[in-house]
Amino acid sequence: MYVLGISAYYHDSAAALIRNGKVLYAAQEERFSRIKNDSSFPIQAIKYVLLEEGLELSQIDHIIFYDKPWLKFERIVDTILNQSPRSLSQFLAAMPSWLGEKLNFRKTLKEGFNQLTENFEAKNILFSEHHFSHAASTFYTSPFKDACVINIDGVGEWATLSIYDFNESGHNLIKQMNFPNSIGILYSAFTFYCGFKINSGEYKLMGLAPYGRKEEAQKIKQKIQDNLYQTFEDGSIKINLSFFKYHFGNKTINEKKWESLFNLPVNTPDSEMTQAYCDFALGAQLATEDILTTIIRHARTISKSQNLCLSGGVALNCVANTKIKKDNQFQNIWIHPAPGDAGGAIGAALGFYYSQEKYNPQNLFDPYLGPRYSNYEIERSLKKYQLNFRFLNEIDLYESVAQTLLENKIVGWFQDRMEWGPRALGNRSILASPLDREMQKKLNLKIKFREGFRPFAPVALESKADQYFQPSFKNPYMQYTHQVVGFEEDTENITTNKFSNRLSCVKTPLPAITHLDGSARLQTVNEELNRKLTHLLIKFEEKSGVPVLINTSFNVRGEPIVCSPENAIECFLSTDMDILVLGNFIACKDDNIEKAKKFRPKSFSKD
Amino acid sequence: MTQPQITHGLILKVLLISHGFLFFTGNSKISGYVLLSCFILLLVPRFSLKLDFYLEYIVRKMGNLVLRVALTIFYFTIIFPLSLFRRKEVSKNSSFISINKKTVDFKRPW
Repeated sequence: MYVLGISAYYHDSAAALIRNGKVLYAAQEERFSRIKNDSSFPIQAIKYVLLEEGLELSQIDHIIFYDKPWLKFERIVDTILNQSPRSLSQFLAAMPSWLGEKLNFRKTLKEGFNQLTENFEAKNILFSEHHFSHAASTFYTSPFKDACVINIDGVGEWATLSIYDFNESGHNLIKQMNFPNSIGILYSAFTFYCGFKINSGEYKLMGLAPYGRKEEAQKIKQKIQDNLYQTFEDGSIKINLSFFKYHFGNKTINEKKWESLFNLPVNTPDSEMTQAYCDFALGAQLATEDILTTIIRHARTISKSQNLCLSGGVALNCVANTKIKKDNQFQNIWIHPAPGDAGGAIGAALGFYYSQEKYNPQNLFDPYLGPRYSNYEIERSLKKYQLNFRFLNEIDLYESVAQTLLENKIVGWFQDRMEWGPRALGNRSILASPLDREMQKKLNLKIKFREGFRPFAPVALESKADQYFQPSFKNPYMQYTHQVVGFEEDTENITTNKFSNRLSCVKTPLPAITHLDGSARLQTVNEELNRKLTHLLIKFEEKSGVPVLINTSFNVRGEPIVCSPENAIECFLSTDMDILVLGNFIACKDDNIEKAKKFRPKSFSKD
Repeated sequence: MTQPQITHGLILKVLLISHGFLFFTGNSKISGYVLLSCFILLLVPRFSLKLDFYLEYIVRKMGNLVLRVALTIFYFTIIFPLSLFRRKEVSKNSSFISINKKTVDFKRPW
C-alpha cells in the first residue's frame, strides 16, 4: 500500500511517500523551490517522491493531508468572537484567504494536484489531525513498542501541547492544552523580543542564551514566571494575555507592557546585540526549560510507558532536550529528526497506515530520504559551470579531503541522499577543522554570512565521542548538547571581553565548536548511519589525532540547504569555500578563481 | 489558445461590437473614447503590458477595499453582537483538558 503524506500552507511544506509502513522518500518543498520555509503546495517534493518510485499519482492508494483545516478555521472564528471588538484586524487579515481558498480545502488541494494530472479526484484526500501527525511521525519512526508521546508547538488546530500513549495496538490522546495557552508561541514571543524572526529565529535565541549572566538571567526568569504566565502543578500554563496580542491582532506581544516589565526596548533585526538581550535570552530559555521538565514529570505519572517520544517545533530546542534527558523521568527518549511541521507529512502517512495495519517497530530510522544524484549527473553539472575538477576513488578522496581539512581549509561536502529535517547530517554539509581558533569567525563571516555569536556544531565518531564530549550517548540527529571535555569555565570572558570576541576566547581543546558555556550540539556518526562521513573522520583522526569535525549546513544565510549539485556549485562559487566535493568529484577554488569572480558574493536575506 | 484566452478574446469582441453600435447609432461619446483607446493600444502595443498591469493593480486594490468594507460591516453587525453572548472562561487549576480519544476520523476535514 502506497500512502502519500503532505504538509502545506502554514510553514515548511513537505511530501513523504511510504510503502507498507516504510518511509521511502521525503523532502521539504523549500529544497527545490529555494524559498526558505516555503509553505506553498509541495508540488516539486511530490514530483520527486513519485518519480523516484516510478509512480503515477493514480497509483497512490491514499493521500493524507497533515491537519484538519476546518478545525483550524473554527479556532480562528472562535478566537475572533472571544476577542471582539479588538479582533477586527485579525478578522480582516484572516478571512480573505480562508474564504478564498482554505475553507474549500479539497478544491485548493485538487488544484495543486491538477498540476500533475487533470483527472485527480479530490474525494481521495484524507485529513489527519495536526498533533496526531506530529505524534505519529515520532512514534512510528522510533525503536519503541510503546511510548508516551508529547507534542509541543505553536498551535495546530486547537492543541498547542498534547500527551498521547502509543503502543502496538493504537493510540490514546490523554490530555491536551489548547490555544491561546502555548509554550511554542511563548518561545516565539521571546524570539521576537530579542530581534529574531518568528518561526525561524528560535534556535538563535537558544544560541544567544549562553552569553547571558546567570544572576541577571535568574531575575528575568522570575519576572517572566510572575508576569507572563501562571504555572499549574501539572506543568500546564495559563498565559497572561494582557502581555500578548497574538490572540486578537497581527502582532505577537504587547510591546509597551514588555518594555516596561523588562526595562528594555524590543530589539530589531538590524540593531546590535547587547548584554541585556543575552541575559534575557538566558532567562527565557531557563523559564522554558522549567515548564518543559514539569510537564515531562507530569506525563510520567499519567503514562504507562517507560519510553518518551517528543515532537513539535519545541523539540528542536536541544538545550531543553538535554535537560529533559538529564531529568531521567523516562528510560529512553526518541525525537524525530524533523519534529516541526514538515515532519507532519511523514506522520500523516504513517499515522493513517498504522490505523489500518498492525505496527512493528523499525530498526534505526534512516534520515537520508531526499534526492540522490549519480556521478554522471554531477559531472554534467560541473561541466555546465565549466569548473576545473578531478575524479578520485574513495580512498584517495578521504585522504585528499582530510589533508585539506588539516590545512584549515573549508570543504563543501555533498554525498548521496539529502537529509530529512532541518539539520545537515553529513550529506549536505560544510566541513572544517574544529582545532583552528579562527575557524568559527572565518566560517561565520566568509561562508555562512550569519551572526558572529553563533557557534558551529561538531560531528564525531560515535565510538570515540566520549573522549571529547560528556555525557556520552548516541546523538545521531543533533538533538542534544554535550559538554566539551577539557573546557575551562571563564566568567571573566563574559564580563570583560567584547561581545563579538567572547567566542574566540573560550578555553577549550576544540575552540571552533565550543559554545561559551562549554556546550556543543554534537552529531555522532557510525558506519551504519553515514559510511562516507565515518571514513572521512577516521582519516582526519589519523592526521590530526582528533575524530571530530565542524559540521554545518551546506547553505548561506537565508537560503535553504542545497539540494542539487547545481545548488552546491553556486554556493561554492559565491562564497569563500576552498574545496567542493560532489560525490567522487573534487573542485578547488584555486583552480576556479576566474569562474568564482563572475559569481559576485550573494546578497542574503535575513533569516 | 487556452480556455481563458478564448474567453478574454470573446469578451473583448462583444465589448468592441457593442461600443461600436452605441457610437454609430447612439452617438455615445464615451463609446467613441473607448474605441479610440483600443485603436491606440493596437497601434502602440508596447504600452499595453504596462497599462494591463496598472489596470489590474487598481482593480485588485479596489476589490480588496470593497471586500474589507464588506467584512467590516459583517464584523460589526454579526460578529460583535454575537460576541456579547459568549460565556466567560472559568478559572481552573490546570490548562490541560482530559480527552481520552483513541481514533482519528481521516475522512472529515473537521
